Amino acid sequence: MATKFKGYMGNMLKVNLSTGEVSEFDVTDRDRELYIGNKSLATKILMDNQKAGIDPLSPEAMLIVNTGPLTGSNAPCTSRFNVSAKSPLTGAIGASNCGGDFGVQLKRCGYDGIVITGKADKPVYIDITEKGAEIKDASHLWGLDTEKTQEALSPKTGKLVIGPAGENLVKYACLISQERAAGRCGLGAVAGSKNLKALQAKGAKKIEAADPEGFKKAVKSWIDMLKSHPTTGETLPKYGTANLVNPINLSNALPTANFSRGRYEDAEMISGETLAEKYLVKNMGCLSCPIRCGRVVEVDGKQVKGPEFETLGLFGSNILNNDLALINKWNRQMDLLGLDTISCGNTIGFAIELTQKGMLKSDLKFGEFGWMEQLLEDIAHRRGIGNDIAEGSRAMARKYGGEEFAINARGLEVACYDPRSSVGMGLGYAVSNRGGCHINAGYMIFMERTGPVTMDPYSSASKAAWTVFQQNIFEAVSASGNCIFTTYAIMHKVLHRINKRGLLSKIISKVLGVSGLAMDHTAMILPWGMPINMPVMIPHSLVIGKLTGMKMTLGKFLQAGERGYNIERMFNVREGAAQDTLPGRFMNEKLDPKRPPLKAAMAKMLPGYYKVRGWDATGVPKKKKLAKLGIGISASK
Amino acid sequence: MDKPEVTVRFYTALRARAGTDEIACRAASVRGVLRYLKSNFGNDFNKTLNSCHIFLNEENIVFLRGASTKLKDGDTLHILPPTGGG
Ligand code: SF4
Repeated sequence: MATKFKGYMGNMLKVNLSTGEVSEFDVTDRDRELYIGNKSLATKILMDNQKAGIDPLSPEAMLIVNTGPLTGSNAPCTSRFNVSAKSPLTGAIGASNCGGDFGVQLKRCGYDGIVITGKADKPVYIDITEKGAEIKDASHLWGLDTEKTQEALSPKTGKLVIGPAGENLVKYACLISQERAAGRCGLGAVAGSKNLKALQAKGAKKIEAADPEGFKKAVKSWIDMLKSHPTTGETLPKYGTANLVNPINLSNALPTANFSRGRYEDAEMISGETLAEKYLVKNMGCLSCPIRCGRVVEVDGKQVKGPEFETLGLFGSNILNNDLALINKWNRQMDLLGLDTISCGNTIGFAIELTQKGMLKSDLKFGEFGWMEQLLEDIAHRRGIGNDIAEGSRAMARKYGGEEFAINARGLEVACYDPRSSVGMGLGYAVSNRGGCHINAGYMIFMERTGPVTMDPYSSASKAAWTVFQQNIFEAVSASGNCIFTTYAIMHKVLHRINKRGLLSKIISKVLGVSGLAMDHTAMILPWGMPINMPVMIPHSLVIGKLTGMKMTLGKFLQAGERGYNIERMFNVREGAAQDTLPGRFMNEKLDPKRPPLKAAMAKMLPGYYKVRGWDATGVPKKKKLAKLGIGISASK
Repeated sequence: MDKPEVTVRFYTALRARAGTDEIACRAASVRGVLRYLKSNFGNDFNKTLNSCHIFLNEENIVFLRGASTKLKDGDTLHILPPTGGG
């Protein structure tokens, strides 16, 4: 065993598809302690082993599929594994988290991850067992959709595959495992560029815990906590992420007609409530998940995965479509083709507006969708106008104009929240390492709009510090192999009982609004300032400690998140992809006539954010900060 | 003079507890609606109601006058439990 820590399998594979060579890839225990796993550790590996400035679709580009210590451990919501590479869509760090069964099976084979380089001279798949990895011919799989590909591989293996979109290098092609997607950043295209159609893994090795009894006990209380919490125990299981359609619409933040409005008069028709009432067959969960936020709906007589909130918004309100049955259908089609629904929907919205303004010749229209199914096929196969849309909104704007209403940040299409109604979300989108991603942004809309205690969504006060806190905790949770939806329980269920119109609620809102300085100091004193665990709110650090045997505390856990966020930033700095901007529509156009667009708030929040982060005025981490986090002083080999 | 007639819409868990997506009621202010709801729905509903976000038409009442916000005929109140997702 190449590690002293339990929870990890201690080995990683390296596969060079050009030479066919399969070898071991070494990771040090120091890096495991510093970066935990998944996206943070993958970025560390990319920084140490991949040359700066490479073409992400070239053979020398690395594609990393890896796990965290919690992946497959039976702690709640821990099927999560990660796919990382330089993103062909953004040129920045690309990382995407997935809840399918591939990661768990990979670990059961005895591997924490696989680093893939090179390019096969014909289509291949990688078959992983306890004996290692074999590169096998996938000519018979090339051209198949993601479902048929999985069906054609060996039964009862964990699989990760691309569809036609990945094969055709669509810049936002995803990878699919079961029906779960590693959706964002175009990592399916990176696999496609290597002629890599799929990976499959099957093993029977056990994931051991350092303190089995302590681990079991901590896991049991964690599951109880999630099941009894209003968000993770009721709202998400019953309504899925689709529950957000109505609240986000009422918050004037539901993208409508390519983000030109924040409210859609037919929001109820595409809402989680309507989905539950008219289309839901049952809910479903990733392995070991007590929350089960996934939807099962029927499309063409078959039970399939239903749409997430983002898909409902971007294929609903954002293109003026109130027909939820159509969204179910398109969602299924995109999963089969291997397309990221967020980037795809957002770019289609942009193409419609370009057409409406006479800047693009096409048949695309808001509110009429006879063309949609054909267009999705054309995007995945890069035909006609589909070939342009396959490049994403930033590239399309460079060709056709309309940059101010091409709704992306760092080249990644922005998710389904208009930040003009949640300014912290705007800051998050701008600085997010992977670009316009709501999660990597810090998901401030929860603090500003939807959560049990809220901050003023139009005020910039304290937003920088809270964004940093949220980003760090999400990073650490993802690094550990856990689903970030477990973090909703951080707002203890007691907070959900506070009378929103009472004095206490008002005091909490006021305190949150002036808490920036305190939060700032919290970040500064990590980890020795928090040498404890707080399982009633953040059980993650305690459970990781019990599983791995690491001396994990809440402070160390949050600092690992901070370290992950900083090394991702360093990757972007190195690749020349660290400009923190938002589209002109957000900065300069009013969404609500009574409220300003984001320009003024951004001018206040951005320098504050850099300061809290310990970055210089251009957004580059200072040497002192990197040294404090131990970035650059550990070796991956 | 009669108090204004308003529509009250419920969402997610609150809709499930109310057993309906909307009701009509007469009240002069948001506080009046809350009082009406508390006396007409059960305990579970009321527990959830306390923590809910309330919008009057298109504006969160925290940006108006909170529970003291006055209502007029034809207004719609939207009441939503806190939530998450993503
Ligand atoms: S909460 Fe949802 S996304 Fe997260 S692990 Fe569970 S089912 Fe998967």
